[in-house]
Amino acid sequence: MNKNEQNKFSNLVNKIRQRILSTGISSQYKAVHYGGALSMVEIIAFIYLFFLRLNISDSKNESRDRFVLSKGHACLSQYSTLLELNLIQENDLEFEINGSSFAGHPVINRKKFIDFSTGSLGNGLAYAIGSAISNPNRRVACVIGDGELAEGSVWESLRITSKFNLTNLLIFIDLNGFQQTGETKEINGDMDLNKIFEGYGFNTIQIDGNNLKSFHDLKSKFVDTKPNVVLAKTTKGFGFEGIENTLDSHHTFVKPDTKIYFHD
Amino acid sequence: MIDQKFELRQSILGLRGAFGAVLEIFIQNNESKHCKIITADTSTSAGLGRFKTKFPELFLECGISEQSAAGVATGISLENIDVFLGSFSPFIIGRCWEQIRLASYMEANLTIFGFGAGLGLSYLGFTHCSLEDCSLVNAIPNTTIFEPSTPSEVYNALKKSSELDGIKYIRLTGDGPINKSLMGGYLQISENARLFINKSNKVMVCSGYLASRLIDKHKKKFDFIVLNQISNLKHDITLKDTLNSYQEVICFHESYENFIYKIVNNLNLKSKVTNISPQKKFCKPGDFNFVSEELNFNLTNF
Repeated sequence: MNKNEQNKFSNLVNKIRQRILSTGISSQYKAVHYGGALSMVEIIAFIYLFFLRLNISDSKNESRDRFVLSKGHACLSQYSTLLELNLIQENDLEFEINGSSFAGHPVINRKKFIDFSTGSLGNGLAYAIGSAISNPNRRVACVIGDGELAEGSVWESLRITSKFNLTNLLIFIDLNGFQQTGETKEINGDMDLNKIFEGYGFNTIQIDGNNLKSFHDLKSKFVDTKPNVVLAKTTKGFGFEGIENTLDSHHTFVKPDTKIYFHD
Repeated sequence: MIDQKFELRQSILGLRGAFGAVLEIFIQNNESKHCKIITADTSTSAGLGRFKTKFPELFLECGISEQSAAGVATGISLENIDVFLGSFSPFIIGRCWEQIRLASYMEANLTIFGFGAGLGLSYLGFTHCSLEDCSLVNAIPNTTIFEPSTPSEVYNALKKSSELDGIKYIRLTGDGPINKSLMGGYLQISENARLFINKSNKVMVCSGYLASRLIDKHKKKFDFIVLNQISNLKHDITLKDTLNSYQEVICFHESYENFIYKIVNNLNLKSKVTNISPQKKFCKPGDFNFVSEELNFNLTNF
């Protein structure tokens, strides 16, 4: 990333966090999945700015790149990114409003860049594989949660990704360390994911997923000989004072004047 | 379409054995121009071995991973490619019910073929047969179920599937040679119903491999109507009129919930209608005759 790209990246990350707050507090249901959305802001900003090739004129283009948010409860990060990149308009983002595609979990609406309905954990990677196989020239990105890794279907799909050597599919694992009822290492068990992914045949990259600098040279670490997976160590609720690194951040209320930590 | 010689040859293999050869002809006839066939390490069980060698570029082997195979199928179908996804019925329907539901929710067009449905493989245990699959699929909106009885009907089910939106389930029952009398000498009374006349005042209505078993047992004693599509049907007035010309209509189905009876019952017939389906319980494994008796699914005395 050059200096200009770095500035663009940090600006987008800051705007997404601000938008997550303003959209979240607009929900009539008040409690929102903030924690998992906030932990992956840097990840999703990187994906949309530096991996996927999308612009508004592509909304009806059936061969365009695809994004799959397998951890669908983190949808506020995706909706906010789409809005900040002008892929959708302000009046599109009717968050948790009756009849809207922008529900508490994403509902497929290709014209608005919501490529799949997700929310039932463990299914997103298989959809991403389908998209990647159907057009090898298409880039597909998929974000999976660390709690979600307990789903057997994730491991089925990782094996299939490796078997078909889908180098046009980029996977991020958001390792924020918490899931709905506790710490992931307590619920799922502690394991060496690096070794596991290496064993599955992935080019495995480990980063500090909330540190912008980790992303500056990330692209140079990708290979085109095997599928790439990024293990991103993040903090649940990152950037929101009061809920950062807490179990409660998973689905909670925040005040409209919540202090946000912005990157320089 | 498929010719009679081919059909007779394939009939020896039974429905699941013939499926691959029928699909091969279906693809060769350009009925589906852009498609993928996805299986979960069960291609040979559906006679797809030759297909796999002939069209390797169309074939995706996902391994013993039915749920992911269903997700991959959904992902591909949402990119406007016809997808045929198949395995043993209890696995591809039972284990993948949620994935199928989500595919339907996203309006994917997916054709699923499930073999070993009904009691055909009951000698392998209840792990390998399914009497619940129709109900599971039918519980999901925008689904259509076919239960073909001959290779020609498999072809017709594939063709109809490619014309319909949503989730299409081709249910392949039985595990033996198909009765040759099902392949000719019938009257096509409507798009979905074939009538075999034996000048009886009672008619048996059935689908799938059960048609072979029933014709074997009752050849000259009853008339038969064999249906191919068994859910999501339009009101069939010709079928209604035909059934009303009989004193008794006996509905058979290899499913806990009798879909044939449901179709007939919805027609509000004047004739007496009888429902013959397996009792809802599990039993020790055995061949079709043993398990049918255990489940009070009597094809002879009713």
